[in-house]
Amino acid sequence: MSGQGQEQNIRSFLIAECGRVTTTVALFDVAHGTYRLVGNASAPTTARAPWQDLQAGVREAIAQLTEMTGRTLLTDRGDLIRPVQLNGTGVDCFSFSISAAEPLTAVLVALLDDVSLASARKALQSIYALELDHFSLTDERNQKEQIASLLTKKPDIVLVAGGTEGGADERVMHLIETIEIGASLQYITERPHIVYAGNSHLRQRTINLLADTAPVHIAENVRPTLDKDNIFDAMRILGELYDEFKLNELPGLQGLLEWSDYPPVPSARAFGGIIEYLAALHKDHVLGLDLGANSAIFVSADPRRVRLAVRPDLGMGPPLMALAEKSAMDDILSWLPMEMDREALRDYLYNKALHPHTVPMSQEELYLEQAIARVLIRRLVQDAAADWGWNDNSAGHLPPFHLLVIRGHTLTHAPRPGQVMSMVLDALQPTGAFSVVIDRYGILPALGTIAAYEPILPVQVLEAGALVKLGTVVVPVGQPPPNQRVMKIKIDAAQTGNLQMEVEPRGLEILPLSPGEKVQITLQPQRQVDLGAGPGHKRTLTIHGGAMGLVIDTRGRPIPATQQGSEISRSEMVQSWLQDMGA
Amino acid sequence: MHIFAGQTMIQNSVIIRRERSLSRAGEIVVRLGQDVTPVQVVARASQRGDFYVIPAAEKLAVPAQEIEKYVLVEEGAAILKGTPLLRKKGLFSEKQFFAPADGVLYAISHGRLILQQTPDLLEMRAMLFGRVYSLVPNRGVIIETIGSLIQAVWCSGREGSGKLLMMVDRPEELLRSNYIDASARGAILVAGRLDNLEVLNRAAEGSARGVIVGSVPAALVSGIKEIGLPVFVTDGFGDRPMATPLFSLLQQLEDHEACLLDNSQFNRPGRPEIIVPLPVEGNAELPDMSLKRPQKGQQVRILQAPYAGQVGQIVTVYNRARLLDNGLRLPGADIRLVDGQVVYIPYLNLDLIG
Repeated sequence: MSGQGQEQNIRSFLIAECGRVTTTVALFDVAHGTYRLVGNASAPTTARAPWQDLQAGVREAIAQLTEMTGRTLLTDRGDLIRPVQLNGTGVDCFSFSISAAEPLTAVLVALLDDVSLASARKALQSIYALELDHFSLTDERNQKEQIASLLTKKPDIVLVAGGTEGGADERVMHLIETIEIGASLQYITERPHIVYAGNSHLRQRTINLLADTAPVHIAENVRPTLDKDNIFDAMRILGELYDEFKLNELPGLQGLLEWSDYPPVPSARAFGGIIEYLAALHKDHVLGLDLGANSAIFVSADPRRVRLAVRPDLGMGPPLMALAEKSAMDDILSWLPMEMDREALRDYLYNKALHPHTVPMSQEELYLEQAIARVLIRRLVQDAAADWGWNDNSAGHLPPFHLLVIRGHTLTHAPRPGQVMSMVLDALQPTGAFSVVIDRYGILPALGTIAAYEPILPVQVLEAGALVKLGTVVVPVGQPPPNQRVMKIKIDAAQTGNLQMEVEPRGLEILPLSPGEKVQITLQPQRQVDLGAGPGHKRTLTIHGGAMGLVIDTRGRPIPATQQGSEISRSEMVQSWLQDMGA
Repeated sequence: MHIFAGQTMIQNSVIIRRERSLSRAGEIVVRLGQDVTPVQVVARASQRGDFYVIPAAEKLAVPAQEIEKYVLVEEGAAILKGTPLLRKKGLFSEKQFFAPADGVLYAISHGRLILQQTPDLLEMRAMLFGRVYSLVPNRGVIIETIGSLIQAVWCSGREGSGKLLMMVDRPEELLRSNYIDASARGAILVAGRLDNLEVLNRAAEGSARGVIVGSVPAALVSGIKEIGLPVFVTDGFGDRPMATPLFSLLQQLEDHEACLLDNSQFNRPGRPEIIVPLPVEGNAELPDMSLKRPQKGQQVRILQAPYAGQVGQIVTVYNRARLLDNGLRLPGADIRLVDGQVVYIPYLNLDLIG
């Protein structure tokens, strides 16, 4: 879209993203009539000791941006210059997103694990929150043990769900009584806030029971019927509590608020917002994946709804200490193309937790970090799929999607595109046909932060190529009969001419397509093979080139742990997959 | 582009101010300006004891709403273990239940009695030799001392104080059981590495007050926590030696009283610290806590293999990214290691020490 006719409204924007480890600032301004990313820079986040001042890290990142772009943005005293001055210094608007705060801690209370508990968890995962415990009908602990858990874990909030509308379930009231006793046994200043998001017919009884004990917040029932959830009101209240308890605690926040033209946005919400925007733009299902040092985020958006899973227990930094348990370590080792000692792996996880900003310097450690990333993403996506009811589809796969957007240093800064694609395919194990793009410059939360106030900015910045296209992927479901090919492919390309090929089962095929190149491909699968249009049905796709071109993954789903009838070891198998991908 | 590195403070003769506060409101028991010792309590609050939930209505087989008729003590009443709590007379028998512990009948709720044991005291100790610099209302104090400050990377969650006792001569040497003798009593033992729990048990049995090492294997972490002795790790997990400047400083400070601070329990958690109060000649200053960029001449510790744990000096800083063997392209600096070798290390893998 052109910026002509809007010039008098055009403003420059400086947007910060304050993560737990790194603070990034991005400067957007108008060039040739449209918004462009002028530059971005980062510095350590300084919310914690010894600095205890969030603003100090933002200033350092801005100072670095000035060194890179030559544009002065701060006064000698460290104040932001606003608006843009005649000499070109300064910026018109400042805003920021934030994930530097501690997560909100919560205990969930609900009746059925697959029903109200799942809905409560979905609401909780819309913010940076850690689920410390949950009580439900399947809980085998007695009341004293549940109360003891509350007293030991000291959650910030208790989120109570349970009871479909119209029911008068005494079992919900019994669980609330347990919460009431547990809260009453704590000092007043340490009692959790209770968010009641259950059967509305029990609201008044809940308020009567808890009113003298702990602050109560009432949300609409997160599970009004067995087959439908309604989590938005609970999400709103949880968001407010997160802002109140965690964001406002951050030292140095006040200084940033004084600079900011808009209220701060949690980075996960900003990322979710931009994925929602992309889903609306493409009129299709878009997935977003962000693997950070202190949290992992998975977003699913289509034109009708957005789902967000924020997991502060999964990340490439401090959460890794908790990952050093047997099954996770087995999973990590299974994605290595070499053998590794289990204790060396445990030490690596612990050291990475201490120094999350460090980067691997050897090929082996690079593969190790990428294996860790696969396991974290797999857990994130599998848990989200279970919570979102995606495992209900017969094949147990992710539902079809059009576009996958990825961010997070391990994913976006891998040296070779094949490494990025390998991590994504191994961890998500998606099916169908889709494209993958990378937030290489780390600006999506910034775009999400500003989208509500300057909607044209993300449109123009994205149009200008802010996302790097990694490639298009085709993953068939089902295997052909022995000794037969999975599918035939016909490619009509203006630059390279027409091409026909057949694809073998149980492998990876790459068809390089340069960035900017556009081809039409026709995929004719075997009768038993489904490309998303039904078994044996042909698909025709128009695809654009990228760092990887076209990737066809016929390894099967789930990806087999070993190759039947072969003596190839698991590490050799992983090695051959990496080689196939040019990783 | 990211041109910052990690920072670890290893400083001699600086002013150190540390908050020692309760997690809840309580009483401050020291005065502003008062000298304090590590074991001295600076603030205290009552801590609620364990509790019992007695399903009274169920035990007497009566409706929950009628239970108060059978309760023999009033809500809020102090009771001793064995005090009759419930009695129900029948035609031919009598049911009676007694208090399982000393405490207070906290509440009669929904047919249940909630008995809370007599509260304990929650105490915050100074854990430092120093002077009360300021008060944190209702919570605790900020203590000021002058001395040496070393930031560690991990601790077992316990704090302690005692005289520093060097157990080894070199920063890569292991702490061994046979090094621990009567001199360990009341001391904080310093060694390059720790590789088993047996030696830690021996240190605890020998009444050592703590252990400082460069590294421990991560597999020992849960065992270390169970033993309960303060263990402070300065460099990382695995078998890394203690960084030489840090080892040398601790050698210089041998026989001085050191304080091991966890620092994780406060609202704004910080890294674990080893603080050695010292009489200082001249004016000490507060440490420079600004965000520093790597500069030529600065001492650094390398955080990643193949040079993990090695200390060196920055000889050249680069603003442009350079290619590593694994294909990553990152800005960094040339570091001269102790053996004279110069290696290129990304800033992200450097820890500025000093």
